[in-house]
Amino acid sequence: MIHMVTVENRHFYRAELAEMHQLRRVHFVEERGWSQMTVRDGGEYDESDDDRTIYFLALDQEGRVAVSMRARPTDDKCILADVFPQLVEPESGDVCGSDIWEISRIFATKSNRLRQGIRRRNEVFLASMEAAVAAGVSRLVGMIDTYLLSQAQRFPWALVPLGLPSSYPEGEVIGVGIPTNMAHLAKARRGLGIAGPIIVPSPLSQATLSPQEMEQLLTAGRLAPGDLALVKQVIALAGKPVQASEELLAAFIERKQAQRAGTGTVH
Amino acid sequence: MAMKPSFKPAWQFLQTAGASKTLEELQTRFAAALYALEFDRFSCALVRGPGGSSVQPHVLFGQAYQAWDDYYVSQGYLERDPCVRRLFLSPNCFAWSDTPVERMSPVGRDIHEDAAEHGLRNGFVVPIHGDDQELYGVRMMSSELKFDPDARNLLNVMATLYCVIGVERLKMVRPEVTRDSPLSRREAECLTWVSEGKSDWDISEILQISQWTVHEHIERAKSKIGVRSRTKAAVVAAGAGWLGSRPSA
Repeated sequence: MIHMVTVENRHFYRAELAEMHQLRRVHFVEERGWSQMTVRDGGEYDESDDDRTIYFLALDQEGRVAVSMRARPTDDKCILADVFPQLVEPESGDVCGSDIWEISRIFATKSNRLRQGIRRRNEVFLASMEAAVAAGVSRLVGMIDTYLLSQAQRFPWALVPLGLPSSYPEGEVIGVGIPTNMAHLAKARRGLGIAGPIIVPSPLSQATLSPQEMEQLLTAGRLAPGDLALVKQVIALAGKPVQASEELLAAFIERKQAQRAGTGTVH
Repeated sequence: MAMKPSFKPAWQFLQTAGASKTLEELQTRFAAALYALEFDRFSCALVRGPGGSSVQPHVLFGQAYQAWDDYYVSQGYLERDPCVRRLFLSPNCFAWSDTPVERMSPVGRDIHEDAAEHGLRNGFVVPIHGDDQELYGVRMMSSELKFDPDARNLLNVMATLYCVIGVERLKMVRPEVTRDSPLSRREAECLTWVSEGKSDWDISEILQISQWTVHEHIERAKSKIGVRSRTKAAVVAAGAGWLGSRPSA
């Protein structure tokens, strides 16, 4: 499952967001040598990290950030249109507007660049489509280094280049557009063999379990929240005998909330 | 800045490649775009299999120059060609002409001269990595010695789309079911998903059967094919035409 972090639930993901920014520094500044980046408190930030930004995080079973992507509305600013307009041919349509999100800063940690990571990367891509459709967004746009184009092209969405590739100081890049609607989302889910939503539902993510605990639950059995089996997992995690009982789940959640209130931390 | 006229067919290809319903349609579009850039022969080859497995490099699809390819193989060039070795060593695309003749190895020079005698004076090669360590090479060849240096990025992107979309369309082609296939329908389905990099759990979800049943199907398929690795089983079965199309999820 993918954690969708917005301004509403950001307080709950404080540790994961800090880690994500640090990993962005490692990936983009240290590994890829991007210059002119803003590094603050060990993390990489830019002007597109603000209250309108949405982060999609895939966590590993220890709750560490494995794959990340950000999306942001483009009705006020857009890196593609404002900084790299040469990547967009006029006939490629609008790249900014009220129903267009720009996706950027996609990375996977080193240990997540082979098979296990590819599943997580695909789930992050799928989550961006899922969130876009839910928000009435009809198009995702972004830039991608040409050496990563094959990965993005293999994902079962209808990615189309927006213009010719172009060089920038650290490599070659191309603009891409991805239409988003229910039909495209359904096709992507079919292509990945994923039956339903991939984003962790917000009620579960905001008040009950920490992101790490959720990840342990959700990845252990690849279960949908609310399943009876999830109850068993929760109970097992709590060290109780496995009995299928919604009451035990409720009791576990209540205890976690009490613990959290007592310690004043999200972990 | 206005687009160069010779780049316009390539731009057309970038916009429409994904809409190609068949491999033939894709290749027709690719050929038109390449022709405007002075390239007239091309092919996509698999040079390393899923899971990083060794395979005999072979052309998957393309519009190659058969007489040259036959000659190339007959001379044993495939095993010794520095261009093939370079595919494994570097993630970057390259042109034959990037290496001056005087700096070529003896076998490289032989291949270069023989290719020129067949009317092939330059080539552009793009390595493309798959999600499961597969490695493909797209080779585009020209009868002209020089090509527009500004076209390198464009050729790289065109070759990437041609390879990724072409491999997808190739999987959609249901080959004639060979009478000598030893695999059951379920075993073939499971191996098809193995070739897509799916785990037993993934396949069990897709086919709505238990993970244990998936495991059993794959173990039986490995036994029938006579290999010990699931990846190898998928490669062998695909090469023999026993897998058919990708099942719908």
